[in-house]
Amino acid sequence: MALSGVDLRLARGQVYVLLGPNGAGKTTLIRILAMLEQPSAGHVRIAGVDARRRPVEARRLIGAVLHQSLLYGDLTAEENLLLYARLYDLDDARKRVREALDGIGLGRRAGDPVRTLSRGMRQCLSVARAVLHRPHVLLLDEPYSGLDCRAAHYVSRTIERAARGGCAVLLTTHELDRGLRVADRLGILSGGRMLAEMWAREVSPVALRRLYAGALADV
Amino acid sequence: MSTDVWRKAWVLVGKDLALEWRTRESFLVMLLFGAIVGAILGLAFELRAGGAGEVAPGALWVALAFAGVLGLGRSMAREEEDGCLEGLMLAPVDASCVYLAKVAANALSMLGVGLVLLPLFSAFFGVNLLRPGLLVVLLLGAAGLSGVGTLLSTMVAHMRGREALLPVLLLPTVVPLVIGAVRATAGMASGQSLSAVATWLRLMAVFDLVLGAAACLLYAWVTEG
Repeated sequence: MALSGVDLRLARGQVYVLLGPNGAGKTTLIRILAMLEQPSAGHVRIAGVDARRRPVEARRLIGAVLHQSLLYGDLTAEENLLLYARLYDLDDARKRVREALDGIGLGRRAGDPVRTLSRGMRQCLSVARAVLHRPHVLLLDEPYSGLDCRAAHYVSRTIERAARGGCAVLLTTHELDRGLRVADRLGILSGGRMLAEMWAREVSPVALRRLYAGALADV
Repeated sequence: MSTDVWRKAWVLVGKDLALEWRTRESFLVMLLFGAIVGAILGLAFELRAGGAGEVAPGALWVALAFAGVLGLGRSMAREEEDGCLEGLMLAPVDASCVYLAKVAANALSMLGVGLVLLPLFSAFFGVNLLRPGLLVVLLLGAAGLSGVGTLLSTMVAHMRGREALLPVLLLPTVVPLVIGAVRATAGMASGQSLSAVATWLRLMAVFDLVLGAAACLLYAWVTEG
């Protein structure tokens, strides 16, 4: 079983960082919350909407960034975002797409096919796609992996903006320092179980490292 | 089905056609394959002198069915690249909407290939396949191949040996459709009217509706687990 007994509540405007080693179950949890996988037991509620009973409605409330970009390489950056804007029935789709592209510094590359963009640019575009419809919950699976400082900055800024706008953010990472920097609350997942949860303001980087090592050693 | 489903399906069809227009990889591969099959069969049977009318419809639909397999595989591979299908599944879009859009886009590609193959097969086999009524047969055939093929190509997308599995699963399933298409095409090639081949057209239409509806219902199960 990939996950067992995980009970996670995200509050509006909260950035929850889920730490854990490879194979801890972080991606499985994100995929279940994004309704890409069905749990064998338990349930997911997004802002009171039961994800299993009303999946289309629940999806409207979620934005997700997964390991893959979820973008069509042969469509331009603008076309990709426009496609999603139309699927989410957004008003002023073109204006919002333009703003999103400018916000991640890709305004001048809007007409370029996605496959010609760098890894960092694609990841930024993927984050822009996930927040385009202003979701209630933003799920990010290892959003910083393989990013340079500039791209990581754009990703962090987008997360901060989303949280300030009342979005609950769940972010997985195995980079403790970065996780601590962006988190309001932290959880340590290993072997499919939630080993510890804490508030970021109550833990120092050193204490977190010690806690993390201790939690993993106990598994 | 709500207007929202049709509207979003249209958005997705537009996306597929834009992708195909930009790369033309599916269409060209299907067309080239169909033309090669026609040329080989035409040469192999050397039936210009007599009996070509009986072989040409079968050859045409064999070529279209196999070319369709290539197109369906490529179409699904495009959705699998960078997790694009998962991206669609994350959006507030019903799985039936994604299915209908893929069916329509795949069917349009097959229809386009069929329209180009008709004059080519007329030339290869020395039989007149350029009859307006054949457009109906092509439309029903493309819709049926695409309807079943879209579901099966999604089912095998994550399996090992999917390139081999798709034709193994698809071709036996579409035997009734291909029989109807061959008989209707043969009738029309010999100068019969649409009403004279109505039985075969009805068979194709029933196949399209029944299997299309079943595939549409199953698509959510296939994509959402």
